[in-house]
Amino acid sequence: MSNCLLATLSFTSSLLSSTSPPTSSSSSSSLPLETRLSSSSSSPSPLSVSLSAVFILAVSSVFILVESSSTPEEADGVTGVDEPKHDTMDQLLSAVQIGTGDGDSKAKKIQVNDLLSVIAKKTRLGALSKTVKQAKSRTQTLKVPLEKPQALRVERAAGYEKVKDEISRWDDTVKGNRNAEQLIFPLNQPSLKMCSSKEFTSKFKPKTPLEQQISELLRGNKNVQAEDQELTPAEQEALTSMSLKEALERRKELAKSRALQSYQETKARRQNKIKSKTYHRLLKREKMKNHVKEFEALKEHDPEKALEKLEQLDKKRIEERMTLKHKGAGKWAKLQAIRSKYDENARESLADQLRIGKEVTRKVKKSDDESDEDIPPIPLEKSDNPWLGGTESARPTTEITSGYRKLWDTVNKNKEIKKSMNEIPIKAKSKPKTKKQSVDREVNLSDLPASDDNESITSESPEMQEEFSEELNEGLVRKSTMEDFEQRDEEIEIDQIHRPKKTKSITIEEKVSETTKNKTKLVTDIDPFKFISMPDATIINSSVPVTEEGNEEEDEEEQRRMTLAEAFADDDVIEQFKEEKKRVVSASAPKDIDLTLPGWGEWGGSGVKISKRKRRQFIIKAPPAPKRRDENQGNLIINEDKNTNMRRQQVDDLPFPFRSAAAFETTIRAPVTSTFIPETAVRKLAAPKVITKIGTVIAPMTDEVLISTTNRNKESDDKMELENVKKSSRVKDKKRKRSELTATPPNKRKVRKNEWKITDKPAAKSLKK
Amino acid sequence: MSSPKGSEKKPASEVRSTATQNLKKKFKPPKDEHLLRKTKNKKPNNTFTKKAEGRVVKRQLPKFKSSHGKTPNSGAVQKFSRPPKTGQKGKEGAQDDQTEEDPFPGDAPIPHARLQKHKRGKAEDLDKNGVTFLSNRIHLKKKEKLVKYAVNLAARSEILLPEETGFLEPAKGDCTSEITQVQIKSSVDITSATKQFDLSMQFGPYAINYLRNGRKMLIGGRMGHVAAFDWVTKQLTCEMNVMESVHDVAWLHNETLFAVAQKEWTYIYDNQGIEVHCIKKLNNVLRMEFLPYHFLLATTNDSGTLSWLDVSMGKMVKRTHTHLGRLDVLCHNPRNAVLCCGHSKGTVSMWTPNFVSPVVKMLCHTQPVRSVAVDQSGVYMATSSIDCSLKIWDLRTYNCLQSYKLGCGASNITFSQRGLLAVSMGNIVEVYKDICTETIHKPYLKHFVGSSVSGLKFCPYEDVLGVGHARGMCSMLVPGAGEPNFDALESNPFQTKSQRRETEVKSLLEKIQPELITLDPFELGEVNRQSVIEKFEEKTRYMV
Repeated sequence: MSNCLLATLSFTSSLLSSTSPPTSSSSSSSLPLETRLSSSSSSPSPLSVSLSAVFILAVSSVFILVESSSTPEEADGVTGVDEPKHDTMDQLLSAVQIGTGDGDSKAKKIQVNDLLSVIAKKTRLGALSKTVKQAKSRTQTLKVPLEKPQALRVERAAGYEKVKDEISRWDDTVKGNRNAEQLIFPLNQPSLKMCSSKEFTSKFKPKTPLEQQISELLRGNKNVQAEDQELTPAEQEALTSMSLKEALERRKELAKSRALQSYQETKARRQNKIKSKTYHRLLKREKMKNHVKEFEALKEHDPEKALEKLEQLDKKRIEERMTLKHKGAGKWAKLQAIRSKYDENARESLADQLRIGKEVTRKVKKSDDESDEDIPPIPLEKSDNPWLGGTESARPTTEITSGYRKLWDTVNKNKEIKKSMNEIPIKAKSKPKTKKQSVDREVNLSDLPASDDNESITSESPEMQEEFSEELNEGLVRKSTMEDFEQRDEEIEIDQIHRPKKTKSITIEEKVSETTKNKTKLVTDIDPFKFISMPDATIINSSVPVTEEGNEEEDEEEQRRMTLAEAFADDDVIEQFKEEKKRVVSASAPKDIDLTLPGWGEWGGSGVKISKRKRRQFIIKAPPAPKRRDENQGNLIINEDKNTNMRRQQVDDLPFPFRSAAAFETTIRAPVTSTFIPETAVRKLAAPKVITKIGTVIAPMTDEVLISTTNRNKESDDKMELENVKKSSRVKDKKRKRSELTATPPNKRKVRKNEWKITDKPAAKSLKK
Repeated sequence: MSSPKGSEKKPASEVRSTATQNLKKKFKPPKDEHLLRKTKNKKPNNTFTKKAEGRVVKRQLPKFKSSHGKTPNSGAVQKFSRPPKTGQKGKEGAQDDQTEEDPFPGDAPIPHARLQKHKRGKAEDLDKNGVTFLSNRIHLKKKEKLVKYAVNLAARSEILLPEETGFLEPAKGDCTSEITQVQIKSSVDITSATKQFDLSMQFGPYAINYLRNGRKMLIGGRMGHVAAFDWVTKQLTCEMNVMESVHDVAWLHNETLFAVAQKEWTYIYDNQGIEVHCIKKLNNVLRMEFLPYHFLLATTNDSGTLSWLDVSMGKMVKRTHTHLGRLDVLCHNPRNAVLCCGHSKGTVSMWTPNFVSPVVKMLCHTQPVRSVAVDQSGVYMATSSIDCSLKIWDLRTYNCLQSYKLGCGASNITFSQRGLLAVSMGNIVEVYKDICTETIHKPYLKHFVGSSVSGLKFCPYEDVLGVGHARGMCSMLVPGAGEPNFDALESNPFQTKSQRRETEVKSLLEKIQPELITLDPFELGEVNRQSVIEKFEEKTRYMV
């Protein structure tokens, strides 16, 4: 019975839904029982799973069962009903018919319990009664259906969501089309891309068994050479196997070095941990000693390296000078300063520090290489003045570097000697003044500044001079080789090209200055332009016209002009111009509006002055005049009036997508015609946005487009796309990082729809030359 | 004859051919060359792809490949270009093969100065505040890229210009001003030598004028002699005596028409010397200037009236009485077509037909101005006065850049296309080089003519200076004066008749209206802000 009920249940549900909406009680005339029942329950939705529904279904199914007995074609689904059950059905029916037969339903309402009591008698239907009881325990009422407009609204909302979802699938396509520079319709044209031979061969796949066999042979074999590589894999392997011994050796070496390194590291760590100051001091001293020793050794064997070392030391000194290490500004120094009152050691150490600091920061006299040559060394020690006698503080540094200095001196001397040797033959050969420069260039310029003249040589120290003279003598005797000659000639030539000829320029300048001197005396007739910044007049070496006897007329004209000039010379042109400018400026400035009425509110008549109060009240002051372009130039008047004719030609409204005038101006600033730019650029700039192919049908897009895009994305251009994506992601990452770094958020100004940004500054300012 | 420079040879002893040297000097690798390269390297593939409904519309900007540079992708080509391998190279060889890189990666750099010349300024405000909707912004930004591309391309294509400029370069110890015309003539080729000639005529001081393409010449003697001729071939177009005093002559838009300012009125003649028009509105004219892009004949007369006549329609555009006395000093600024007049009070005034008062008035000298000239770029102005002074002005700031004292007050000054300044003082003509940018002390060239100079003009696209004087005219050679590369679409010295006709029609179609003459030619590209504001306010008023 239970399965039959279930079958009926489904049947009835379909029936109910098909016949009429269950909400309307009036229309369900075919099912009086059900309507009655529904009236008893508050919400008769047939589809709900609530108790009442189940009940109704049960009842209606029974009702239909009964009916089905009379109409066999309807009761296809209820074929399994047994004959002996008929009596119970009859009872049920009778009970129902009692209800229906009566006009007043209120009096004899059929309760569920009544029905159940019938069922309860039959033990077979126990299960049903159970379910009904269970359902009864969970009684819930169905909600009142929504009003029609609201229901429709809900429906529409749901529909909207669905449609939106559907349409949003097109978003990318539409956006892509909108942003595309050019659309060629019909859009889905077959691509006629020619692939290269390499691409084509890469697509090849063996199909026939023979091909497959061959490819297997070829690919699997190690002895097949790949296209790009020189060696086959097998050969390579052989090569690598040959160097096995070497590899082992290398491994050994590596292990050894690693062990050594770790040992050294641990040692260093240990030493670092030693806190004893004395230990460190000793260490330092030892280091110093070692350095000196090393240097001494180097000095003897390898002076070049010694020099390098010296430079390094110098660099160290410079670094120390730069830092605040020994200036008593550190934490330690401050602590020591506090402690030094009581602790002698602290005092000493602090003093030491300061001393070092002083030493380090003292200016080193550049006596060693440069000044020595120019200025003869003053015998300071010999002088009587104790203050001049070599500063005591300078001693320690000199002590330290004395060794180096000697070295420097010797090196320099050597250089000098070399130089002098080179110099002599030139002197002998060429004219004395000009050619020496070439040699100077060869020698380091810093070593001998301004050694062009003989003076510098004479000013050098006596020993040097002696050496020099010796070398000079030697040089005179010696003969130079041909190579030397050639080289020298080249150098001279280079010199001539690169250096401006001094002598020439000087003479020109002299001439000019002379002439200016002469002429400035003559030309002092002009009233100096007080308010005009003028460069000083340069005199051009122009020739004065030669007057001829023949054209006296011209002469006369000239004469006339000259007299005119004289006549005008008295005119104060500048004053006149100033006045004119004043007039123009005042005319262009906005004026006050005078609204005073004579005799209004006070006595009128001739000779009566308008009172101050009234003036203040009735004169509307003009705003201050805008800044003029020619404000700071006394000799200039610029007409600031607006060119109305031009204004008429200008664009007087911002076209659609623009919010600011500057943006629009930038878009029209660059020319697009072939008059100004190359043809290829013109074609690109003036390319049509849409191209349609004549004679083809431009059909609307279909869903296939969406599918095909995805497919194409997957298949084609994968490499390029991938690369692009990678790049973009990298860029994005960078950007993100940058944005994270910058704390201030980007200035997001909300722009209203009808807002324009109007600036007074024209955009194309940068264009103006 | 194809170009002035190319055809002239200089004396081997004194003057070295300088074209290449000049070029070397000029072409210093720009400082930011590596920067250019860098930026290029950052984005090697300047492609932007957009998917458009199933089909990718791909636009690729063509790469500028230097002839030596190869892209790393072109592996096949590289393989062919290399010599065949001999024997086994081993590992190293193989590695070498892979790692070999292009020694000049990226595009060939463009010289900075050249790029600067073609620059179009910066794009402004193409963001959310300036443009609505993302798609519009995207489009504008793409356009910006194209503009940049066009600029680069324009700068690059300058390499196609066939000729180079060059000047006389003196030998050591010499100066160019000592080189005479005879020397120059003797050392240049025959064709160029014919460009140096003298015409002695008896009809008084001559005014001269060259046609815009530099092919024809017009001379007008004070005593009424007017002649038009091809000065290269010396072929006479027409010659006549108008039996009246002639003050100035001017070619109109092409060689078929010219204007002559005669004693009372201005006349227009055709190329056969037939009087076409007598313009009685232009009376007592002293100086004339033709504005080729506007088809305006600007004249000044002795009573101080300035007038613009539209020769395409025969309509008087504007007559302005300047109240500044006799106007016999006139020139026009080629950049903005503004007229510059010099006055007796030492002032120079600039005029447009849109204002009754001068747009700019500047006090340049304390004594009467005798001559004014503006250079081709419209940046520099030269003025000369009776008091022997010559001044160079910057027309962007109106400041005096250079002030010179000459031997005598310059009666005529004129700029060449390449910025040489010719000055005439009595019967001497001097030419100065780099006078605007540097302070110079000596002239570049010097020439004595027979009598006092009355007209001075450089011939366009030729290294020739025409000098009209009291006893005729003389054409002198000034190396480096003219622009060596002409734009045949702009003005073509080798124009045929049909080309001339076509150009006439085109230039008439492209005629610029006189209302657009302003001091700042970029004003037209600006938005009329006032009206925009007004309209916006009106809209908002209705909306509220």
